[in-house]
Amino acid sequence: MHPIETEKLTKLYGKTKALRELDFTLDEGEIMVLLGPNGSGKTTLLLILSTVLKPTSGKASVMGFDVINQSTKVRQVLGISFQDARGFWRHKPIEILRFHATICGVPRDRRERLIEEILKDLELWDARGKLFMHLSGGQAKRLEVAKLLVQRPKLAIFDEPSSQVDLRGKRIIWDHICKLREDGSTVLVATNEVREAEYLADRITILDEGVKVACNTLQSLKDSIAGGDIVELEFEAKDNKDMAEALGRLEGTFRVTKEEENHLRAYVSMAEEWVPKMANICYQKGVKVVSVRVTEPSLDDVFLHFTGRALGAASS
Amino acid sequence: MTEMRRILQLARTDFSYFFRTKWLMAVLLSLNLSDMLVIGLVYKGLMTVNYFAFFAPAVVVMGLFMGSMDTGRRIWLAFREGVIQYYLSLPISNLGVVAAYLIAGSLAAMVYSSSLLIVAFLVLPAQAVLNTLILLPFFFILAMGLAGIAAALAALASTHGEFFFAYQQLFQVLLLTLSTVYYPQSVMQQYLPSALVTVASANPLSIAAEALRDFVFTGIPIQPLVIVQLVVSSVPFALLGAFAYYKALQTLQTKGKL
Amino acid sequence: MSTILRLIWFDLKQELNPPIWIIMEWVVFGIQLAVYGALISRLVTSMADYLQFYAVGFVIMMTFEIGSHTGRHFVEHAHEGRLPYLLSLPIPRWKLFLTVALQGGVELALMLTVPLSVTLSIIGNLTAISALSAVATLFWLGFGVSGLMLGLSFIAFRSADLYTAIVTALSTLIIRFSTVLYPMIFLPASYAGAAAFSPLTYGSDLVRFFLGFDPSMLVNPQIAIAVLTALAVSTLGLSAMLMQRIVEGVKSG
Repeated sequence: MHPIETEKLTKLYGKTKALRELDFTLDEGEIMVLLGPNGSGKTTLLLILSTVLKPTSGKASVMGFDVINQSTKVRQVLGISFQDARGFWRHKPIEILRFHATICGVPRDRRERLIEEILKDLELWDARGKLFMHLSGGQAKRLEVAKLLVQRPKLAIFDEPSSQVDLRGKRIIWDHICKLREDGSTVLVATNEVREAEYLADRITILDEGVKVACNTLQSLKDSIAGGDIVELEFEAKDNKDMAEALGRLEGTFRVTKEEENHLRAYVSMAEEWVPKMANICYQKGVKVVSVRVTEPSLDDVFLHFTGRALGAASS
Repeated sequence: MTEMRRILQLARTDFSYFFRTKWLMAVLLSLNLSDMLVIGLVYKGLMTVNYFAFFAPAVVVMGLFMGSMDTGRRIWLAFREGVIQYYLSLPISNLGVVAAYLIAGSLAAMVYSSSLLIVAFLVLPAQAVLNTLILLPFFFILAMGLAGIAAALAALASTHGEFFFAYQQLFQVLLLTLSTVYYPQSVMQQYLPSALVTVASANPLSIAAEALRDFVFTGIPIQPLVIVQLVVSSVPFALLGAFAYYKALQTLQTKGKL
Repeated sequence: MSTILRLIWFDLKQELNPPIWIIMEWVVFGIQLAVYGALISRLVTSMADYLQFYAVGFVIMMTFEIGSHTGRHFVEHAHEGRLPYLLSLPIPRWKLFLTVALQGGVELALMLTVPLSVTLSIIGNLTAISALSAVATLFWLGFGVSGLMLGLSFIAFRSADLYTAIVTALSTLIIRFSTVLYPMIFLPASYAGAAAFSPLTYGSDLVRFFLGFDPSMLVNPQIAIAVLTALAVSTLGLSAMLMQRIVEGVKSG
């Protein structure tokens, strides 16, 4: 049983298709990052999984419970941190966390200690007595995340957990999400921030216009781009005519370009396997290599590869 | 944690929200107290009837009405601010959310109007204070009915954004003016069409105001028929409100918006 | 001038599309007058025609409400971030203040059209001068109330919640402790003392004076004119000064 399983999940808002027959699974104990631009269906998927929204068709289950027929059971094992902070305007952070912890069944003996610890960690302790409506955007967002960190559900869902939060705050939130996984929770994070995805993801699912276009580990996604790795080679001698040809024939080479007299750039797949082969050829031909620089594709490149659009451009 | 405890937990939070809204407290207290202690008293000097004795108990009912109606504003706000999505993600059923709001709304209205009742006891001699204890549970049912109306208005108005307050104002004026809160039924019978008089006499606010005047401040023994009338005129509203709110939650789950 | 008109129209368009608030005010006025006013006037035995007195009182309450609304509008704009935007536009400050004041005036005129017409027709037997004087008094009162609310708006920059609480409580008391709903001679001594401080006492009694109500029940019209003028001039001047200072450090959050 997967903690999350969807089958042909579809959601329509009038004529707009937010999700199109999505098949999606999550493995126990992993952090899965849903990556996609605004409007790609990430939030819709999260809201369906947390039973806030009902799907138009298809199936979805959380920890084996059907999201439509066993919605209350789903909510007993899951927690969601919304994209926009949802709080009671006239309550204080500490009261909001107490309410959330109580209603989600956090044992009384652990409740206060956990709340204090999380408030301090997320640098909300000094603001614990302020009304929610007086919190800054970043504080409200951290409070939204804090709810889940106090609840510690079996399945934790975060929708853009560090948006509006400063760099330092982002790192703190990410570390807490990782710790949640170490403590046994399965985590699903939706984001359109590349750094967040790279920091957190065990696996990444790329959603675009309601469709899953890729799902794998970050490394595998990068590796799956033919010619995605770039190897820059600098030779001692200037005349290396046949080197470009020889490297071009190597397995895994996509293309080789000559940048300068003694400088070649090779677009290859799986650079870690290609470089030793390249070294062998150089040895056999007696060509001395001055420097080798390997550049992996970025997550942006991965996104571009799978969707045909840059993530930044798609998000905006 | 059982469903009931979750409902109570949610109700407690919403209940405290009512009393934390400073401007609301200022509006309600200034309005109701000045109605009772200024308008009631000054009109007494303009009329041959003892309008103060007539009006003071009715102000308590007005307080109950206004306090209950605020349930609608809180539901509307929860829809607008998206807090409702948070509720839907909690381990509590949709019916539980509906019940929590109605309980919290009526309880808040009860507590608020009780403070007005205490003021009324201070300024007006009550003949049978103990009758109040018998009436209170039925006033709670009335408050739930009124909260139900407010919930229904909020659920209906959510699609029209800020028009909720316009609907609420109109409804409030209609229900208050077409009742015996401000004037005795005999005056209404003399000058209003009989259909409107019938509406006014079936109005739960009229029944509650008359009950307070007769059973608490005049000392007439409680008549079970009046209690039955109070319940019968309140329960349908509570059910209607619960149904409308429940349907609104379902719509939100299906369409993603109202 | 076109800038001012454009700004006024920009806001007014929102209110009129659809004009639900205006229609609602008229409907509420109709119900209050036809049911509450009519029935209460049957109970009032100390005055000949309380319905007329009440109708004028209700128009005064509406004037007050619209005047306060203008002040609140300004505060809301400040908190929603619209005011900083308006301040960034190439418009002189005085034009901006004039816009706020004129907008209140236009809104007042729109809202009062029907209620005032109904009230004047109930009273009947009026000359054009008396009706126009009454209308002018209402506008003068509206300006004064707007100024008062704008002057109080500095509280809102500390806490919008506190501002609403103070303004609504104050509004209720200013209406109740005044001659809006009952003549001064019927007020208990302590209430009459408080009513002497309410601007609505002077506004409502001056309107009634122009509409031909028994002067013995009303405050001296000359005093009323003086008080209303002092209120409008002082509060508008004070609020313009306060706003000038506040807007320099206006908060948008």
